[in-house]
Order: sequence, then C-alpha cells, then structure tokens
Amino acid sequence: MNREILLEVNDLKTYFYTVDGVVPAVDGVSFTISKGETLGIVGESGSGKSVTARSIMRLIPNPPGKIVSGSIKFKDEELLTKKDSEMRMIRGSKIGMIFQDPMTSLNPLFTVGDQIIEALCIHQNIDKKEAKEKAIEALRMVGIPSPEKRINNYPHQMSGGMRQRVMIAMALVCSPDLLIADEPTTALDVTIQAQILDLIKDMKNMLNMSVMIITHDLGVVADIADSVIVMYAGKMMEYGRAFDMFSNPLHPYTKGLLDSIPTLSMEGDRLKSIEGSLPNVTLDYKGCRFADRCSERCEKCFVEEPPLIKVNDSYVRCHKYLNRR
Amino acid sequence: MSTSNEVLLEVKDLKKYFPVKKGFISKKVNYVKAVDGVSFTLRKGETLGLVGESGCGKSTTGRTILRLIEPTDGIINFDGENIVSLNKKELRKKRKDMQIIFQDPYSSLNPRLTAGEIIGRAIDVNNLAKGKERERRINELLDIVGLGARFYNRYPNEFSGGQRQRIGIARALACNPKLIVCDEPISALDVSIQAQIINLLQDIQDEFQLTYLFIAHNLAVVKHISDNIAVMYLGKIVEMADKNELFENPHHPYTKALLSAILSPNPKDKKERIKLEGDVPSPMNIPKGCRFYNRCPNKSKICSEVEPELKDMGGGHLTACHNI
Repeated sequence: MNREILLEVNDLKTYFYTVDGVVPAVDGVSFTISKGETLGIVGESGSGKSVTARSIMRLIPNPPGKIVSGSIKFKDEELLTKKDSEMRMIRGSKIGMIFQDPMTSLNPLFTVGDQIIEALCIHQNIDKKEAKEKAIEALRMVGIPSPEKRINNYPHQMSGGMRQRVMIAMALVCSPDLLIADEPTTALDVTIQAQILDLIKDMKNMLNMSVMIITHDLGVVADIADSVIVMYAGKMMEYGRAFDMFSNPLHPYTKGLLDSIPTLSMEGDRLKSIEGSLPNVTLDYKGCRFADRCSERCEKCFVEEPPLIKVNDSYVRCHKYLNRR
Repeated sequence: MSTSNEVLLEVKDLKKYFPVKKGFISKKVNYVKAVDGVSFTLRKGETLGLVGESGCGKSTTGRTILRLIEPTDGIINFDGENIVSLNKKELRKKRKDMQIIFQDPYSSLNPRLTAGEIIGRAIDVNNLAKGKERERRINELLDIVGLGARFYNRYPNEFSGGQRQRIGIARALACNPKLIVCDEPISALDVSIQAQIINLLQDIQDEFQLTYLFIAHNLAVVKHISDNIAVMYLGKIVEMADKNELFENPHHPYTKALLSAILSPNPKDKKERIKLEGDVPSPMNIPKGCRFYNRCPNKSKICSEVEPELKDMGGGHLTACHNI
C-alpha cells in the first residue's frame, strides 16, 4: 500500500517495573498505519498487544509502567514528547479508543447522552444544545433505535451490544483520524459480535479513518484487517498483509495458532495443539521467546534472538528464514 | 467416539424460574424464566453440545441437571433414577456419578489448598480411598491430566490458566463419574491453550467412557467435540440435531443466523452474514408466541400468537418453527 502514512511506531519499548523485576511487556515494536488502513494485532493474553495500544494513547500507568524508548509519530508529530495537556487534546478528538468491556468503561452515574456531550464540549467549541443534537446524530449513526429517547438512558438500561455501540459513538463523535479498538467484541455474543464488526467497517468507510484492532481471535482479524501483526511475549513475530498471513503463515507460532483452531470444514478428531505455555520474560532473556514451544526449533534458537527478516512482502522473526535471504 | 444405545440421562420438560423479590416483605413480583421447558436425552458415551448466547439458560440447564440449582419443575432421569425426587443423602451418593467442570479456572479452585488436596477433597467427600491409596490415586489423576505428580504440593496461584483447568478436570475425574457437565471449559483460556484442553477432554472421554454435556458459545468448538447439538434461545431449545446435519442443513432462522456469524480464520471464506435486528427479549417478560419473533427475518402472522413446538422434521432433526 502506497498511501499517506498516519501513524508510525518505531522500536517502541514499554517496561513495567515490578517487585519481581522488570517486565518488558512491549519490546521493540515497529509498524505503520496508512490512511484508511485497518491493522489487526493478534496475540494471547500477556503478549503486549493492549500495552502497545495504550502506549500510543500514552495511557500507561506510571509507575509501574514506563515507555523506555522508541518513537510514535502521528501525522508527523512525535507523541512521546508531548505534554499531558497536548495529549489530552489528541485523545478523543484525533485518536478515538474503544475498550473491551462496555460494562465497566461507561460511567454508571451519568446518562449515555451526558457522556457523549461531555466529549463534544471538551473537544469542539460548541454549546450544549448543538452538542446534544450531534450526540443524537452519533447514536443514530451507530444504529441505536429511537436515539432521542435512548440518549437519556443510563448504561445499565442498555444491553452489552448497545453499550458497545454507545462506546463507538463516543469514540467517533469528533471524527478521529484513527480508531483504536482494544478487543471490542470479546465480551459480546457471536451474533452481536458480527453486528459490531460490520459497524466498525461501515464507520471506517464513512469517516475515512484508519483502524487499529486488537484481538486474540484470528477470525476477527481475517474478517476486518488489511494487515496483521502477530505478537508473542512482547515481540512482533510476524507482520504482513492479512491475506498473505492466512494463506501462507511464516512463523511456526502463527502456523501453530492457525492449526489449533477448530474450523467448520475440518474433519478428524484431534487438534494440533501448541504444547507448553507463555514464558516468563525478563530483561536478560536469551534466544527466541517461542523456542520452548516451537516444533521447528534448533540449538541456535535458545542462544540468539532472531532478527525481523523480510520474506516477500512480510516480516518474520525466525532463524529459519535467515539463510534463505 | 463409541456411543451405545443405553440412555444415561433423560431430561423432560425441565423448568427453572428464579423469583424476583421486591420490598420489605420480599414479595414475589415476577419470575425470571431462565429455563422454560427443556427436554433431551443423552446416551452413554455421547456428547451433546448446548449452544446459545449469554442469558439463554444453557448454564442454568447444566447446573439444574446436577441439582446445584433446584429445578422448578420437570423430570431428570439419570442412570434409571429421577434425581429430582432424591433427598439430600441420596443425592450426595448420586453426585459421585455426575461432575462438572467450570468456566473460570481462577475462581473455581480454592486458593488455600494445594493441587493435590483440591483433588483429594473430591476423594474424601465420597469416601473413595484413604492413606497411601488416596495419595496414589491423586498422583495418578495428576498424570492423567498431563500435569504429573511433581505438581502435588503447588498452590493454584502457581499455575497458568490452562494448568488450572487441568486440575479442575482431574477433580471432576476423581470419583469416576459417568456424566461430566462441561460449562464453557475453554472460553476463559488463550487460543493456543484451548486446543490442549479440547484434546485432553476427548482423550479422557475415550479412556473412561464418559458422557459429556458440553456447554459453549463457540460453534466451531462445539462442532468439533459433540455428536449432537442443541441450540437454545431464551430458555428453550429451538433446534436439535446430529452435528453434521445441523451445520449442513440448519432449519431454524436463529440457527442460520448463529452459523452465519461464525468468523472463519481465513479471509477467503468471507460470506454473507445474516444480520439479526434487535436484542434478546428479557426472560422476565417473555413475549407471547414465538420467542424469536421480534428478531426473525422470515416471520409470519401465526408466529406472534402461537408458540411453536419442538417437532421432528425427519431423521431426528428437531426444530421449533412454524415456517418450515
């Protein structure tokens, strides 16, 4: 894709300083998002995908977390050196974010209308009446029936799917350039999940924005993303176009993940599982982080960490591809 | 999987209404009809998958069958006995044969007991073994679930989610049950761990001739592990059939929508989705007629007035819909 670059993340490192030592939750992540592109980040819990998203928004609690190094350029402006007050103007207006749990990320003491109007009044120079009209319009846009009435509802009066729609309306009300969606469908039922994914796609086309979607569900990525990053234990393991990754996965971890999901067309009675579980990573970790569980490992994997290698149009972190270059 | 013709569990018209109380004297003002007339049979060695969205009553069904929740009405014939009519002492004896694996491996293990003792409790309660024999049995169970005896003295907080779920499985196996209710056993686990647990569940089913009631909302997983599948909606079964029949030839519009909402991990498989409008009605206020009426894409006049019965459409494919 040769389009204008909206977000450029370079060698981002976010560490958490805990009593048990330093945890490199995100360890050297680099990627770009072009205008109108949808990037999916997949990984298991603890792989650092949510921390990556929160680092971009500068929402890492400090202490214990800290962005140690790297750069995050949004529209050619460096976000990491911005003051808190400047950051506040970007959050919600230029970059919108929706969270996993629509039950806890809305304030139960205010009506959904109040919460959307608040976002509008902070970021746009308009009065309350105008903001209310805009809020109703936003609710209508995300498919909430009779928004004039619903605007006076409290979050508990709505279902999970409705609440996630409100969250999306709130994130989009200032027409951001980038929407970060952190597991937006994980807490929802399958039929509602399909609705929300379609809504995000429609909104993306309508507002011509870019989307960064974080999920552990490869099905969601296959459905919505143009390009994909596979993360494991804080590292990018594979980065490329979604179509390439699903038709020709490069990294043994990606292959393992794809093989371990039961699909509808699959017959036969055993799943190929990846043995073992995620390693506890510390700063002095040696070798490839997936080596313990890898079916194609060699001795080198335990000693030396593989670099990110370019294969065709994709990048992969695996020694296997080193001599093929 | 070998299924015999012997019926292990027969559920007839099971109902569970939770009262809604209000005011100083806790007057019952309404009922939440969580399970509202569910019937099915389960043969020995068979796996029945129970799917549906949250709030449809699938977990309540599972728990009511074990009488962890007392049923409001209905018959549960387990191994030739109606367990609804058993008293506490008889029920406790019977419980040995029916166990449950819970969804959340974090909250379903006592944090103050070691892995070995958690499993040991299940043995003690049923007076199955004592002393050396008890210890040998615990170690054997830890081996079966792929943990090994060296984990005997570890506490739950030292285990990962997948390992904890293995302890939960070992505990359920401790008293050689005939039936295990698996209540969303993998939905709290990471993708790469889910396959391990599914494989383990299938291995122990073959080894110990277990019968499963497998409750889940992930249809691909349910298809993988089940023989038959029942789809629930708002407290009722709307369709029940052999798994291949259900996936190839779904009848009920809700089943069709549910199947079309499955996301395939392959961008080439993109297909047209059936979009369901609206939300599930509240189980406190179930509408007259078909429960799916307000969201159904091909409803007719009769649907809003008469509730459809679950009927055999041929070959044991049961569907509750007027328009088929």
